Amino acid sequence: MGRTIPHMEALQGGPRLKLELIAHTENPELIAASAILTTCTGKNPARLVEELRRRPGKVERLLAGIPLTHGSVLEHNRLVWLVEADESEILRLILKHRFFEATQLREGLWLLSANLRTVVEFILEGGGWLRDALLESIRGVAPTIWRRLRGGG
Amino acid sequence: MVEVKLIGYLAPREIRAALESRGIHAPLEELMKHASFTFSISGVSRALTHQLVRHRMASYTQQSQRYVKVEDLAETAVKPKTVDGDAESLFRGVMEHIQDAYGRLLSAGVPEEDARFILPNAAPTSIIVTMTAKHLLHFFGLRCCNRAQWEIRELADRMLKLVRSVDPEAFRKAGPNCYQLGYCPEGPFSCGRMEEMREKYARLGYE
Repeated sequence: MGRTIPHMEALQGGPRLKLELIAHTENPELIAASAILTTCTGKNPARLVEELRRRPGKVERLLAGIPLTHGSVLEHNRLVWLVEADESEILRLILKHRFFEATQLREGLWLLSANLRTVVEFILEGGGWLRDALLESIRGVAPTIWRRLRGGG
Repeated sequence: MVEVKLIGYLAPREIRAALESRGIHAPLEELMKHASFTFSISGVSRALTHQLVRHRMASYTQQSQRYVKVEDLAETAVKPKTVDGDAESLFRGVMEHIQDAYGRLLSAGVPEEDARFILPNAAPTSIIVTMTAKHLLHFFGLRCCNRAQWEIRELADRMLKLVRSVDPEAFRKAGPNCYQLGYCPEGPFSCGRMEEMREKYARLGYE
């Protein structure tokens, strides 16, 4: 305890905030693509995961093609951030976006988590004080979704 | 054939490790809120998934009957063990009849989304399910219980084994409510086999 988060300072003239993605489920876009095909093929999802693992180009095409507002396939993952923020900022966030989960680790330090759908909807709705830091944090984890969000959806 | 696999997870121990590498500690109970497990489930009945989706704090993606035609129901339908002897031939006959009628509706130009209205609860399906570790504890509490219906109880046991295989400590106390709470909350409906359940869930997935 007691150390500060080393990077990801935000924001746009907003309140004091630092955010760092510290853990996440492996390859959320692979699972999302498998979920897309689960709905419309007769294949079992685990088999789809193995097939798509060998075809990253197809994963990218599937993720590039879905309407981001049909986001249920983006729910099969979890992203966890360490956030330095005031209690009022976190309260505002979880009151407006109830699918974020927050744990206070100590005063001004929070564990925050959500799935990609929650992140996408948060960003598409404008996102407020956390938007840019959150978007940047998914760049390496969900690159196709990140590119789409950066380009406006 | 039922198949249940863990296709993605972020276990409590992984979040704990990420925090501890930064000199931060958090209680397991809090980590359970942020940990998440994703299962691939196939070969189960629509009767099971109707029960499953009542667990609202979870995410689901299910095979669509609008886009995937149902085939060979007589062979693929989920048949309860209690359906045997004369009942088994009756069950099979009904499945064949439904399959035939379904095919005829499609041939008559009825779209899949409408022809499916005659399909039975026994129709097999695939579904992806994601729950946080905290909600899994709730799910196990209700669905590992002897009062739960057999198909979802068997599923819950398989899921519990899988999560215990990746984070044994986080799920050591998981199981039916009697195992988690130390008493049975079912009142007059209790199965009365708490000791047996305690032994079963102390071992399940650890042997």
